[in-house]
Amino acid sequence: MINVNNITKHFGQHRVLHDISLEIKPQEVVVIIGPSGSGKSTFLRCLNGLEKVSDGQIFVNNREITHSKTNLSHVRKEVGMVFQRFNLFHHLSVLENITIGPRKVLKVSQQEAEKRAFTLLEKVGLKEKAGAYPDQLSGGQQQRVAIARALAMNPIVMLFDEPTSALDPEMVGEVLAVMKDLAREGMTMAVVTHEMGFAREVGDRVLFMDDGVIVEENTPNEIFNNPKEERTKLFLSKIL
Amino acid sequence: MNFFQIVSAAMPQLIKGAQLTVWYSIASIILATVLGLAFALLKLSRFAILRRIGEIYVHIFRGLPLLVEIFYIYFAIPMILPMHKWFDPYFTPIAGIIALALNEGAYITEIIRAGILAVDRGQSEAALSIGMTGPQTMRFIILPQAFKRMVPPLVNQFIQTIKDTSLLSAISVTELTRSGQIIISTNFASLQIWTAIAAVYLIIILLLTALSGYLERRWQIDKR
Ligand SMILES: Nc1ncnc2c1ncn2[C@@H]1O[C@H](COP(=O)(O)OP(=O)(O)O)[C@@H](O)[C@H]1O
Ligand SMILES: [Mg+2]
Repeated sequence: MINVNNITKHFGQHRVLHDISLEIKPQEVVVIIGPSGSGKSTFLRCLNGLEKVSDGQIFVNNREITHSKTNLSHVRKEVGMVFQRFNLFHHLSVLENITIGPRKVLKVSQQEAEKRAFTLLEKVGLKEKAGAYPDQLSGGQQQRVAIARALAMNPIVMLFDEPTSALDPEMVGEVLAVMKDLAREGMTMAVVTHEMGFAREVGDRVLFMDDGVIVEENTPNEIFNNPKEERTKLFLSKIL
Repeated sequence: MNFFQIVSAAMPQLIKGAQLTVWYSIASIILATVLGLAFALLKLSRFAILRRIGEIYVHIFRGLPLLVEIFYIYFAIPMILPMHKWFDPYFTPIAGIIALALNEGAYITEIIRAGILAVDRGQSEAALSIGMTGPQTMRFIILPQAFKRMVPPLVNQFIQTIKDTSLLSAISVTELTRSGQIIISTNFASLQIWTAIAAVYLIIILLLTALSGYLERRWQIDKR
């Protein structure tokens, strides 16, 4: 589904990602952990072309997105992304936030887009909020709408960048529950998070990133109970 | 004749002038907004030459006195381009509107650019990540949000435009100021007529301010 071959990313002189390779298979849930500033967000943003790699290749569904001729908006239709800060469109209602992508990008009729939006809102438990504006919702509700907005495009893979980090603790559960459902339904997912419970429960693999490289990669059980690398041990001792 | 008799005798002509003032203002602000949007997008382009073109436009038309711009377009350009023949007999109003629009457009360029830049980058990233193209992101996500922030400075600019139309009297456009001058040249009632002119300008601007306050409140309630 996603193939990453030896990518490197520099911001000016600053090397943020160094020679990263990774394969994400269909229906796999890959969890990425690591200290702040280690390059997790940058890596995720490379996967849908929000950042350009300096070197290396990324294939999504066998299409090379790092090729200069690739139409990125075609790729991004198929790659959903959920941000730490939700980034809902402030000037649009919840319903419009979800329908605008299908309507303007996929050219679906308004009626059809709304029908699907209501199904998704039901799925994330926010059907009664269809007419509300983002600023009227709690953080947890906004993030669930953001997930619905991404799902409305029928993506083949979903990227989550610390989806619960900006939330008050009592709202973390409701967002994780939606993500767990998605994982169980077989969605391919790459999730940057420090929610170890989530990683253990639905993660197929955990990558530990530090200083722009993947230091260690294993099943959740192995990583958490039996880390091999010193840096992994140090990091886990701080957050567990 | 007392003050009110003089003013009411002059009123029909002043009202005609005031109507022209309003029409010139509206025409030039519409054109200026189009120019402002175009040059703001140029100034935000990722291509250095396009940004440069936007900068040069703003520098020139914000840098020169408006009266010089009006004279340049009305008197100087026709020396090399026979515009006055092409647009005859409408050259005077057209030159006036173009001069005003080019000048206001430079200010509006900066207003629109600032409005666009004030929209959080996360908004365009979210739009791109659902597959919108750059132009779609601009049109459906950035500009609608930028526009709401731009309303107060745009209204200020519109008020400025209304005041600036008085300079068109210098090329004999019979807007409010020029109408007044013509009346005074026959009745010599400077104090009364200039007072009336000032009052009419104030009324136009008060009405506009009230309208913009109403629009702002409505948008605030509708869409947060
Ligand atoms: N647009 C940018 N320009 C310059 N440096 C950046 C930019 N984005 C991220 N960085 C730098 O890249 C490094 C990795 O950042 P990031 O990917 O956000 O890490 P993480 O998500 O793991 O906290 C940090 O040192 C950060 O300062
Ligand atoms: Mg991050």
